[in-house]
Amino acid sequence: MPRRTGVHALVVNPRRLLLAAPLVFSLGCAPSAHAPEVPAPASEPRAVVRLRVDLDRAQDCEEAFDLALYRNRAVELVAWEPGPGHCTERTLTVRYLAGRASREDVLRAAAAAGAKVTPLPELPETGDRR
Amino acid sequence: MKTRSPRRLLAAILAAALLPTLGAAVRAVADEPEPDEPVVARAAGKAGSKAASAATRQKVLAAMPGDATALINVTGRELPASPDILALGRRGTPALLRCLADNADEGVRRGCAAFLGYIGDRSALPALRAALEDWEPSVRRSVVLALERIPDAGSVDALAKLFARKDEDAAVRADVLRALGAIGHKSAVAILRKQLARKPEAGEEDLRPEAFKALWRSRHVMSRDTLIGDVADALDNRNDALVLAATFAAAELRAPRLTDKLVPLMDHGNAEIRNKAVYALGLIGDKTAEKALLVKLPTVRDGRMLNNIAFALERLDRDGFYASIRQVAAHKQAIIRLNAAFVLGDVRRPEGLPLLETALVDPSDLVKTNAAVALGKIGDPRALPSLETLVTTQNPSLREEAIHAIFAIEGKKRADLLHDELLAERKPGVPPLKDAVRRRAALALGRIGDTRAREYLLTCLEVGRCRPAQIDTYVHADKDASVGGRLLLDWTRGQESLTALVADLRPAGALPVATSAAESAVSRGLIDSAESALDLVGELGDGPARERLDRLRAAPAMKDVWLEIHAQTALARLGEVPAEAQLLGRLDTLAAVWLPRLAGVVGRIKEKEVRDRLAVELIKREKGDDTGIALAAAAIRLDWDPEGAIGRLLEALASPQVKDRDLAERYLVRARDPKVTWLLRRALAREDRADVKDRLRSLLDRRRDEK
Repeated sequence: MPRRTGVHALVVNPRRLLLAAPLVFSLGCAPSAHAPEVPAPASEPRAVVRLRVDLDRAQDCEEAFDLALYRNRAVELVAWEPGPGHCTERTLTVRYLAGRASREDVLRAAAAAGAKVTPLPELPETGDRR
Repeated sequence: MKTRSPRRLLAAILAAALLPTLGAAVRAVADEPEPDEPVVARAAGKAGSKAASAATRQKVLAAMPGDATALINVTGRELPASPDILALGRRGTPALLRCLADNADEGVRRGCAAFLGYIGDRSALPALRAALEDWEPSVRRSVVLALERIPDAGSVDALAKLFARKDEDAAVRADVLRALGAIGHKSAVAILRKQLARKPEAGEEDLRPEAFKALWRSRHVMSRDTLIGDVADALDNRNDALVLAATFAAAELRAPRLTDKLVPLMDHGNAEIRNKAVYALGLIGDKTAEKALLVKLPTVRDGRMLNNIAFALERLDRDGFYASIRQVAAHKQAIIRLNAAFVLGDVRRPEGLPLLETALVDPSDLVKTNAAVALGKIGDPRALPSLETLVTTQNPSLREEAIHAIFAIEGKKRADLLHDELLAERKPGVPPLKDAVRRRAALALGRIGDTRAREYLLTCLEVGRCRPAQIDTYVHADKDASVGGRLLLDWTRGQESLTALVADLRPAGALPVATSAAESAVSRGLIDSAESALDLVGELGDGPARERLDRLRAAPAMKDVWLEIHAQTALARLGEVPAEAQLLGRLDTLAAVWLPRLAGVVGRIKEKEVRDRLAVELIKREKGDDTGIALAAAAIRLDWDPEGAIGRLLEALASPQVKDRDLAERYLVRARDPKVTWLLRRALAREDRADVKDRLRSLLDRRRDEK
């Protein structure tokens, strides 16, 4: 089989990033900062949204989705569930700071970064919400 | 006498050949050895003198913590074993310093310098700098390596002075450059840049590749512009080693300014350089490279190059890529059509479907087979009708790949097809399936937890044809009691790699078996077996097991530092609070080179109350001045609470100190929790320092590759 020097598939669809950008800014979040990120206090309320997504097929589809979502600093963690598919039929949970973004904000950002997004019922509380 | 398994012994002997700096004879260490741990074999002496030498070594070892002169008059044969010296940690520093200054034996001085580097005690720095004037090049080299291990800006002048000597060995000078790179200080960078810009004189060793690699390690203290300029210069050079190193750098920098320098390298005589240049062009993604890549694609003559060009073009101009690959897929030579199919699969985009479906009716079975594999990788259901037609084909490889592709697309729905055609025993009169075919099918079915693969997979594991990691998902999914029982049986037969699986499945009878195994292995001095048995008791244990472990403390084998650490970890997990203090004590004094391994063992603790107590102490150490200890503490917590601990490691990843950056990277690469990957992505998305961003990207690539 031919060998390849490394993995270098398209990281993210630029058109989707363009779509996602206004949403990021509409949430009042700068895309970058000089100071190291300080974790939000444990007392700050969090919320979660569980999603089923079909992403653009690419080698780094999951990473590209994460990078797009994390530009919103209200998004604290995107946790992926193991699944048979690589880019399709993936299930994930987005934990976000409820005071800085709404569920709709997160859904819009996810929809802009993923090809198809379906909200799912939340799983019972696991206690791992920091 | 302590014994180790033959494989570990072989590894130790191989490592001995690779570590000339440790001329001192030492025995091997095990338990997930870290990549740069000193592992050397003790020189064999005559049987008669062995016992006497061992007694002398013990005596010298016992004297070292209290007597700084203990090593002045020892010979190589009398020098204690390296694990024993490293286990002393900083308590051995004064004796090692005097050894370096006053021992007349070149080999012993060399060993003492190496130990000082591994221990990482900064108080050794002045003496190490002074020892750069040692008469023997091999000792100077060992000293330079030690200074690399304890990087400090205060060493720059002494190293520069040594480098400037015309009569110094080329190997020592090359090591000096590496040490300067590890220091990561502007004054060191100035020396390295000067060396990089200097053409070697006739007959002089060309050290520019070493200077470049060292500079690359210090890139965070350079301005981006200067760095890119230096990489551009290095790409435009006749020294292949330098050009190759620069192509790696270009791939990480992803600076469009380098495109012009990389494009001509696509025709370089060195295949490695050609491929790396294309790889870098793909990552840079500058449109100006597009034309050159499109011209190159139809004429390329090796699969790897084709693949790299394809990926570069796929990023730059997807339409142009598919137009061009269409020509390659229709090439008159089958081998080129085969490669086109392979590339289309690796790109994993549905645009490749029509070309691959055409390839499925290619006259060459090999092209068809590669097309089937590619369709499986793309995973688009639209390919199913074409693939279904190949399920009954006479060519076994094509049939196998078509079935796997269908299974890859459809998953569980087609488990019967995979099982019936590629795993189930054939009927009498039908030619049997090759074992490799059945194994692959069983592993695929195992990944979806199909219990029809159970017998095959367990047997495969028992006979050593399958690795524990390959059946990990399966054994966790299959709830049948026989699975745990079989694994426990294999574990008792010496398959120590099954420890984690047995611990997870907790088969009936595992605890008494593990406890007895620990007692037996400790009393016989079987260190590896004892360590895994102790780990298992720590996982499964209870009060009575703790009492039995407690009684083992007095065993002679417990003098082995790692056995003791495993035992303390097990005892801590079983609720013995003083064992926690012992582990923290080890963290504070253990040789720096061993800290990553210690973090790996302690990080396995799962009991919340033990973690909570230890975390309080670990957090204090994370804020301490000794970054080796601080990062080991953070690495332990990374296993327990990735979100809470990753901040310290990310801070180190941006440290001005090269050593801290490298260490943080090492801990972050090896952490198994997928949450660490998610948190690294979060950090990457929000990072704006270019060099830190590069590091994070490279870290994520490495984690993906290791997975």
